[in-house]
Amino acid sequence: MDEIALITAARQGDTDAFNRLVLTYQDMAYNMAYRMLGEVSRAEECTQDAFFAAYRNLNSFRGSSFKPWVLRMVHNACIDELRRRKRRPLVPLEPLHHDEEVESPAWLADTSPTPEEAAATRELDQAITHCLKTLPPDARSVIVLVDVEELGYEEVAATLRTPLGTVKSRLARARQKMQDCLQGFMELLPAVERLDREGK
Amino acid sequence: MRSQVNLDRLNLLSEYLDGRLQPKEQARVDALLASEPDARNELAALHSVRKLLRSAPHRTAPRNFILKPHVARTIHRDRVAIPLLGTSGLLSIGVALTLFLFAYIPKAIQSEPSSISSFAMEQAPGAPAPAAYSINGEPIIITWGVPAAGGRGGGGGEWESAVSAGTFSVKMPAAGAPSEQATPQTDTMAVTDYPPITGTGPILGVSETTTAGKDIARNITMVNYRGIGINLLLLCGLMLSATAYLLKRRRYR
Repeated sequence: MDEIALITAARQGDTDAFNRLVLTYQDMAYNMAYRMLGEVSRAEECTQDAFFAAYRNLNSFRGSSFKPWVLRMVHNACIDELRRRKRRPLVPLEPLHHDEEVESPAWLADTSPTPEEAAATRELDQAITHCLKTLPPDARSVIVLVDVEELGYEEVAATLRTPLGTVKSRLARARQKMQDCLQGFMELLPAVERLDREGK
Repeated sequence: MRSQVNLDRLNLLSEYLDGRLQPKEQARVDALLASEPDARNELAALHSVRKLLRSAPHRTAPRNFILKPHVARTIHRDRVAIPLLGTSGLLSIGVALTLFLFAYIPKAIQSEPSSISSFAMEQAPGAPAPAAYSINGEPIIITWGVPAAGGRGGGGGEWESAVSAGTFSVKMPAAGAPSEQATPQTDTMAVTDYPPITGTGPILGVSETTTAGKDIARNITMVNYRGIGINLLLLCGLMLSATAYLLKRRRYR
């Protein structure tokens, strides 16, 4: 059953059809929410909110692909959450910096074959999370969608309903800012390259 | 200027990295990279950032986000209820505004043209007098017991005494007679001293033994039900619309 047929069935109240779409995109949606917010619990809430919103707004779906549409719901949910957090700042339970390590199920979930690789992956994850948080939300969305989710420029423009030129310029500036921020974590790069070589 | 140039170059290198440039632009960037070590370093930095982000661990959903049937039913109800709320709110506002327009605007419109038309009729040469203001084609002049000033001005001195005496006269001059020269005594009806009305029982709820002016002021309150109704309807409409808007903003993200 293709996406359009599933969406049509879901519009007619078939929850199972909608749930099949959810199962297809939930990892991508959750990963985007996590990269946008940098917190496991908030990312989970936003992903759930995004799928609720998608179900409510199924009648307004006009596109041919469900992916950019549902990612837009995730993006909106994350932006709302960031605004809420700006109004009512919270102290996160997860470590912000690599010297504040706290063992949690989320970190344990990143299992790697060896302890060294696990440590490198965890440090890399923390560095990326920290640096992404320094970006403005709009630039963060673009770099997450292009460089983390590996969407094309056109897909990102459709997802964020932003002109293509704006996507390109936001991406370039976001990459530059990330590079500035990651200067302090550049010792991670050899570990990443080593992991890549081993993967190949 | 320099920062704009740098920004353009940054955009170009970023697109080059993703292979998004046209062949002509790509050749230009190739030449730039061959000639400028700074550009090569910049591209290498962008490349390493992209590589880091792509090698970041991909988070998998900690649980399934599927909708349970009872939750889906709740969402379905919201999907119907919120637009219904919004529509009824807007409808209420529309009805309230329509009632307002029909209730108050015609009065404002009517008052102005009537004064204009009466002025125009007065000015029109040979225009027939309106039936309501004439008897046998003759204009009625009401002097209210005050001697006519005859176009000479003044003449208000006896007004107070005439009113206090409860006297007024209606003068109806004969056809063709100039109104200025008609004597006040001809064809004049005088009504003097209204006796108090007795034996009728309460009028407008006011008994005949009480002082009418005081009782009317005290007992009869003028309530503008139409105005209150329109205001209430408008208020309800605004509240419904605002609620629907807020719910939609909160839920339809």
